[in-house]
Amino acid sequence: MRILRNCFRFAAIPAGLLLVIWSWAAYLENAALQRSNVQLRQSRVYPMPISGLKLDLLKETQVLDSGETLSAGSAFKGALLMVSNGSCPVSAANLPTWRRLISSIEWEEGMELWLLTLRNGAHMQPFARSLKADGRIPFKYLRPKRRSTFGPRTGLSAVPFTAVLDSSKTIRLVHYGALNQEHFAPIIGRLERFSQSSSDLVAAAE
Amino acid sequence: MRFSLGLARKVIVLSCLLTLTAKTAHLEFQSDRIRQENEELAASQSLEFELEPFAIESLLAAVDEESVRQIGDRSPKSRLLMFADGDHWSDVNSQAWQRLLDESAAKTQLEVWLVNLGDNSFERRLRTDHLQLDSRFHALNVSDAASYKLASGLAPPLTILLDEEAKIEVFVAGRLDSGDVRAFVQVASGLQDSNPKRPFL
Repeated sequence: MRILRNCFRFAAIPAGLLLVIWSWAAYLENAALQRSNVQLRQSRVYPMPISGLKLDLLKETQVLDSGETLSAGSAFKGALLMVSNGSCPVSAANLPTWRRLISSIEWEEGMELWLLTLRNGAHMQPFARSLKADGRIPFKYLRPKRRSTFGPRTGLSAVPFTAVLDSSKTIRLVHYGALNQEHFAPIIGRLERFSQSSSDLVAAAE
Repeated sequence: MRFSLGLARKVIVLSCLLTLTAKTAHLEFQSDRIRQENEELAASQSLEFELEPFAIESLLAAVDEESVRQIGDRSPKSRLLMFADGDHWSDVNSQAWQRLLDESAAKTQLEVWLVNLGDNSFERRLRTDHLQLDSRFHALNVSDAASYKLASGLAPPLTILLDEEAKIEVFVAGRLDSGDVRAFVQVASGLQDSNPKRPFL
C-alpha cells in the first residue's frame, strides 16, 4: 500500500509538470495562430462585386429553403440577388421595398430570386417563409457555407446589397444600401431583357 | 486539524490541475478551429476571379460630350481611374489622390481619368490647388450618375488601375492610405516598363 502511494506521489509530480508544460505550449501556439489569423484577415483582398464579376454563389452557400425553382429542362436565365444581415437595421428597413420590387416583377420560367443572409436570418427567414407560402415566386434562401472565407471569395460583405445576375451568373446591375422606387425600373428592365434575349436565342435555334 | 489541512491542500491542487486541464483542452480545440480557418483564408487569397475587362465604352456612353471630346485619343492604354463625388469620403480621399497624381506623374506615363459622379467639387479643388495637371489628366462628367452607378456597381470613392487591355490591375474601394498610393505607383511603373516601346500620348 505504501509502495503504491509512493508510486502515485512520484508519478504525480512529473504528470503535473507535463500538464503545465502542455498548457504553456497550447497557450503559445494559440497566441501565434491568433496573430497569423489577424494578419490573414487584414490582408484579405475582396473582389469588387461590380458589373462584370462572375459570382458563383451556389458553390459558396448552402440552400436553407427554396420554392418553385427551375423545372427540368428549363434553362437558368438570371437571378435577382438580395443580401441582408439579421443584425442590420438598414436591411430590416429595406425589406418592404424589396417585397414591393419582387411583386412588381413578372417572374418568367428560368428567373430566380436569391435571398442571402450573411449572419443570422432574423428577417430573411420570415421573408423566405412567406414566399414559400405564397408559392408564386421561384426563390432560394441561402446562407454562406463558411462565413470567414465568404467575403474574400465573393466580395459580398456590405449589406443591404441588391444585384441582378445574368444566365452566366455574372453581375449586370448593382445597388448598395437602401433601395428606393426609382431603382425599380432599371432592375425590372434588366431582368426583362434577359428573358427576351433567351427567347430570341430559342427562336434563332428553331 | 493536520488531516483537514492536508485534505484541503489536496482538493486545491486537484481542482487547479482539473481547471488547467480543461483550459488547455479548450485552447487546443480553439487552436484547431483557428488553424482550419487560417488554411481557408490562405487558400482564398490565391483565388482567381472571373472579371470582365472594365467597360470603358459604357463609361464613355455615360459621360457628357464635352468630356469625350476632351479625351481625344481613346485607344487602349494603361489608365488610372478615380471615381469621385461630393460626399465626405471622396473629400477624405482628396489628399491621397493628389499624392497619387503627383507620384504617378513623376514616375509613370499614366493617363488619368477623374470621373465626376454627380459632383465635381474635387476637380475644382484640384484645378485650384494642383499645378502638375497636364495633358494626361482628363475630367469626365457623368450626366446621369445614379443610373451609371446602378449599371456599373461602382461606388465612389474608388480608385482603379487598368492595364492596356482594360483589365483591372489594382483597385481600392473607399479610403486610400499611403501604402495604397505606393502600390498603385509600383504596379503602374511595372505596367509601363512591360511595354516601353509604346508611345504615350
